[in-house]
Amino acid sequence: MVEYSITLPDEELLPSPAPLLKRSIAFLIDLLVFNFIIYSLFMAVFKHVSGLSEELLTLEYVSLNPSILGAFTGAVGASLVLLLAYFALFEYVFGMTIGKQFLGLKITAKNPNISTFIARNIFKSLLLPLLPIDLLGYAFTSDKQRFIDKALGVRVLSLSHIQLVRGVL
Amino acid sequence: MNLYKLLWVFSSLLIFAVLLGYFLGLAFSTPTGNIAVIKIYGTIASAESSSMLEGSKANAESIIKNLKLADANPLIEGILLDINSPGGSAVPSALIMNAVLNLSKPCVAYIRDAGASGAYLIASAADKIVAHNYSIVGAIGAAINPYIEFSGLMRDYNVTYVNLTYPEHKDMGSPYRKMTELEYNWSIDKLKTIYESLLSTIANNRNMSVDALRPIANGSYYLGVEGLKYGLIDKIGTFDDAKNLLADLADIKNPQLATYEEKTSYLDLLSKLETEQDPIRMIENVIVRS
Repeated sequence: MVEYSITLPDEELLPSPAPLLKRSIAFLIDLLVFNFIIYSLFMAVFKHVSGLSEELLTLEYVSLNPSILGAFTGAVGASLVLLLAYFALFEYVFGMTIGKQFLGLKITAKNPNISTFIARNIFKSLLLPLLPIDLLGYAFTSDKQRFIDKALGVRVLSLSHIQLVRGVL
Repeated sequence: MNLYKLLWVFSSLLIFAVLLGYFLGLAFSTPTGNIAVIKIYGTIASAESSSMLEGSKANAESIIKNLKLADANPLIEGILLDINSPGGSAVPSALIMNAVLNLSKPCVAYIRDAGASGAYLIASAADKIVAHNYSIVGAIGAAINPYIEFSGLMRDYNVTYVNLTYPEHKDMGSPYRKMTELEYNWSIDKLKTIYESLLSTIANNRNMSVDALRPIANGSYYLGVEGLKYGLIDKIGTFDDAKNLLADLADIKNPQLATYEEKTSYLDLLSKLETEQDPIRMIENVIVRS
């Protein structure tokens, strides 16, 4: 009898669709990172240069100076653009964001170019109110992905640690 | 994640955030500070009569808007009127004065070279007036713009003035005919009415009696030092003295100035230039100035 032996890695990473809970926690971690670093810096610079502050948002002042609402709306819009840039850039460069890295999630795409990642994150930023509709895809698609991901050929996967038993064939 | 790539991505995002914040902030910049400085420079006019080609004008509409904005701004604790004006039209001057009277915050007026006539009317509405020794103050009175009457010259050259107006006084003030005595008296009566109103308003604003003010308000101007003697101003000093006086009045610990100025966009400038080129407006401007 010839004895064969093959050396297997200590662990193999087998991808599976990422659970909703993990994806939600990863999203929250990303929001925290974005809020405390990028958004804070943006708002600090914006307020310093414009001289605006939340204290000015009184009914009397706003009614006399409606442009202040435009300023704060512009700031919200700009921060959503920044949020989009954060997600798209991280996913394009690393295939994951900081939150996904913590939760062991990875993104695969048929066409991994920047426009794919901008498009898949548009519902998490500029079109945020439509995110719940997009999320329904998790319940209705076969491989539990958002509608936009399904359309773009993108999958969010969980890297499950499967212990393989060393064996003798 | 590769550390260098991570640093590169983060740096890019941070630079983007700084640039976005900077340019957006610049687009919506608003004055910062706890004392609003509102400039009243040049001849006081309503917004529509302010013209680019007619020299410095104090745009009443913009000044009133800035007064209201400063008053409504919760970060502003006091308002400093920075005046350098010989006066101007009666109505815009009175409108600005009313806006000053309606302020809920302490207000000090500082008169630079001149705060005369309509400009003094505005200053009188402030809680205190500060001026330089040599500033021109007062000149309380009313006037109709003078004009040259050509009827004698026209007669000498056998030029006829054809009056196609109805009724007879519609062309009152025409430079091509003599003003009648009746018309002259009417004009003086109207000026008297304005003068009496000015007198009582300024007296009321300055807590003086009309009788005490009347001999001073003879139309002449006064130097700052004389104005102090007659009660037309409260203090001789510099702009900084006016700022410190306001800080005392409003109990401001660390006074910082926020200058409110009229914002003119390129679009406004273009539309003004277009208006200047309108021949009818140009003729009107000449008539108004003559």
